[in-house]
Amino acid sequence: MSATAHNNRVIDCRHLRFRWRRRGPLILDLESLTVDQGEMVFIAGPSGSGKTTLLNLLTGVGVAEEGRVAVLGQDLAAMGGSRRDRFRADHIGYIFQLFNLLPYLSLLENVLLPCRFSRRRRLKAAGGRANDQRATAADTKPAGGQRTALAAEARRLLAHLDLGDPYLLKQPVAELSVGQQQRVAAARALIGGPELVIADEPTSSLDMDRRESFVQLLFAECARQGATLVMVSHDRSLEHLFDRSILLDQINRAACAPAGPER
Amino acid sequence: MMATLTLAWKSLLNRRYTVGLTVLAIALAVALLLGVERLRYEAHSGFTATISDTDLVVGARSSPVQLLLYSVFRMGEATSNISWRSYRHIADHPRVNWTVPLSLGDSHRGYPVLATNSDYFQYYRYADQRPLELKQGTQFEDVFEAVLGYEVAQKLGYQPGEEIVIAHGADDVAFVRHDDMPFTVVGILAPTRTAVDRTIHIPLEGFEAIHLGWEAGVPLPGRQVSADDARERDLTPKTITAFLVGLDSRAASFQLQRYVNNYPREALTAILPGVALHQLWDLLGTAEQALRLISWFVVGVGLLGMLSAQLSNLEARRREMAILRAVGAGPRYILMLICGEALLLALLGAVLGTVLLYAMIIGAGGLIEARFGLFIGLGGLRPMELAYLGIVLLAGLVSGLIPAIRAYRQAVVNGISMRM
Ligand SMILES: Nc1ncnc2c1ncn2[C@@H]1O[C@H](COP(=O)(O)OP(=O)(O)O)[C@@H](O)[C@H]1O
Ligand SMILES: [Mg+2]
Repeated sequence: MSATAHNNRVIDCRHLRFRWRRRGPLILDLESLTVDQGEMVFIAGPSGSGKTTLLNLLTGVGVAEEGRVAVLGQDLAAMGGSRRDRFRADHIGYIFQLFNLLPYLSLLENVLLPCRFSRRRRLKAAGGRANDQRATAADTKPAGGQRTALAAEARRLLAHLDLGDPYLLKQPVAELSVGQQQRVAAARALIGGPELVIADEPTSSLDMDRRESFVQLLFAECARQGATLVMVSHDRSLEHLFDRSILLDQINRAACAPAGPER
Repeated sequence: MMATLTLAWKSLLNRRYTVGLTVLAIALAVALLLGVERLRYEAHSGFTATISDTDLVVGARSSPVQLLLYSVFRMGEATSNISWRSYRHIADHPRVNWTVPLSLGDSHRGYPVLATNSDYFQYYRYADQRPLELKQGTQFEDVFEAVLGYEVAQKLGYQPGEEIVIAHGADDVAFVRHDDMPFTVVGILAPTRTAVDRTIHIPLEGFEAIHLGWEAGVPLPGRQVSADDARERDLTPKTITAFLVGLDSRAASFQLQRYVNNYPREALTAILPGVALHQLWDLLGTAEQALRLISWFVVGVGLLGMLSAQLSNLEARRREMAILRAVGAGPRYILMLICGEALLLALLGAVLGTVLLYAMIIGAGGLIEARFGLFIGLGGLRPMELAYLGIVLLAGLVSGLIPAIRAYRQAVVNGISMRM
C-alpha cells in the first residue's frame, strides 16, 4: 500500500470498521478519512453517531478491528499498546466536552499534565515554542530551571487563551466557569506543541455566544503552533468557520445509529 | 514513577475524608493486631521471667497450672495447704539444695501477702537468674516486719518505718482485718517487673501469729491473742501453701518430682515451672488463637472497607481515568495508580496503627501493669510484628489489585469515552 505517500497527511484512515463488542452492532465503517497538515476540520454527526468512537481510534486508545489508522504517517494498529500511549502523549492534544480538569491539580498543573507523560512535549514546552533544537538544550537545564520554563510556557499559552489574569491561576480549577475550564483544557491540549489537536464537542457546554470566540482562540493557537485541528460536534452552527466539514453519517456506512442521549 | 506518586498523592489528598476514614479503620485494626501480639508476647516473657533457677514447685495435689498460678503468680487460691512436716521431710532429701516455703491467702489493700523466710531473699531468682535486691531498708528479722515489693511501696506510698495492717483473705473487708497485729515496713525491694513487685513479704512466724485464734477463718471470740502474747508462743507454722525447691542438679528434677508425687503421707504435686508454663500456654493457646483470629478479621474488615471505597470510587473517577488516558497514560499506568494507592493507604494505616500502638502503651501501659501485673515494653517492633505489618501491606496490595484490574479493563474497553 502506498497510503503514506502524502507526507503532509496527519490522519489517513482506510477501510475502517469498529464495533464495541464482538457481536455488537457495527458502529463505524469508513472507506476513507484523511486530514492534511494544518487543516481545521469539522466532523459533524448527531449524538450516538460514533464521533467519540472515531476519536477513540484516531488517538490510538482503541483499535479498529479492521482497516488502518495512520497518524503522522505511523500506523497505530502496528504499534503495541504502550507505544500507542506514548505516541498519543507525544503528538496529540485532546479536549473533552466537559470535566476536562483534574480537580486535585492546580490550574497550571492541569495545563502541564501532558508534560508529565511526554518527555518530548516537556522539552518542547520548556525550550520555548515548538523548537526541537532548543528543546535539547532545555533538557540540560536543572530541574528547577525547567520547571520555571514550563510554568512560563503554560502562562504564555493561557494568556493567549484569555486566561492571563494571575488571580485565576490561584483558584481551584473546580471553581472556574465552564468557559474558563474549556480554555484551560485547550491550553493543556496545546502545551508542548503536539501536531494534532482533537476536540470532542468542546463547545457543547458553552453559552451560544461563547462558542465562536472559543473556537477562534483555538484556531489562532493551533495556527500559531502549526497544529492540525479535528473537532467533532453535533452542533453545526460553527461548521462554517472551519476549512472543511465532514458529515460522519455520509462517510460512515454503518450509520444507523439511533439518536440517543448525548454522551 | 515520581510523577505517578505525586499524582496519586494529590488525588488522595483530594479525597482526604473518605481516605482518612479508610486509613483510620486500617490503623485501628493494625493497632489491635499489634496490641494483641504485643500483649501475648509480653505475657509470655513476663511470666517466663518471673521464675528462674527454681527446679520444682511443690504444693497440695492440684493441677500443675493451678499450682503454678497461685504459688508463683499469686493468681487464684490454693485448694488446700501442705503440712510443715512433709515440707521439712522433703527439704531434707539429699538431692535438695535449698527450699523456700510460701504461705499465701492474706492481702493488704488488694496486694497479696506472702509469708516466707529469709531463704526467699537468698534463693529466689527471676529473669536471667537475677537475685532480689533491696532498694531501701533491710530484710525482715522480727515477727512483725514486712518487706514490700516495689510497686506496692510506689502505689501506696509506703516508706520504711510505717505500719500496715493485713486483711484476712484476698478482699480487704474491714471486719476481717488483723488490726491487732500491725506490721512494720522495714524494706522495699528494687523493681523486678514480676509478681514480686506486687507482693508484701512477711515472715512465716508473723503469718502464724496473726492467725492464732483464727483457725475457723474468722476471729473466734475469747481466743484473741495479743501481739506480745503471740511472741511467747511457738510460731512454727503447722502448714504452708507451697514451697520452691532447688536441686543439686537439674537432672534430678524428674526423680524428685516422682518422689513428691508419690509421697505416701500426703497428696502432693510437684511441678517443673517451665513445663507447667508450657501447659499454661497450651491452655491459653486457644484463647490467644481466637484473639489473633479476631484481630486478623478486623484487619480484613479494614481492608474490605478500603476495597469497597476504592471500588465505588472507581465510578466517580472515570473522568479522572479518561483524562489520564487522553494525555497519554496507559492502562498499566491506571493499574499501578490504583494499586499504588491501595498500598499507600495500607502503608499509612500500618504506620498510623503502629503509632497508635505506642500511644496506647504509653497511655494505658501503666494501667495494664497495675491491673494485670503485665509490663508492656516500649521497645522497637519485633520481627513477628514486622512480619504482621508486612502481611497487612501485602494484603492491601492484593486488595488493591481488584479495583485496579477493573479500572485497567475499563481503561482498555472504554478508552476515552466517559460512559457513565
Ligand atoms: N465504551 C463503550 N462501550 C460500548 N458501547 C459504546 C461505548 N461508547 C459508545 N458506545 C456506543 O457506540 C455508539 C456511538 O457512541 P459515541 O461514539 O459515543 O457517539 P457520539 O460521540 O457521536 O455521541 C453508541 O451507540 C454508543 O452507545
Ligand atoms: Mg461523544
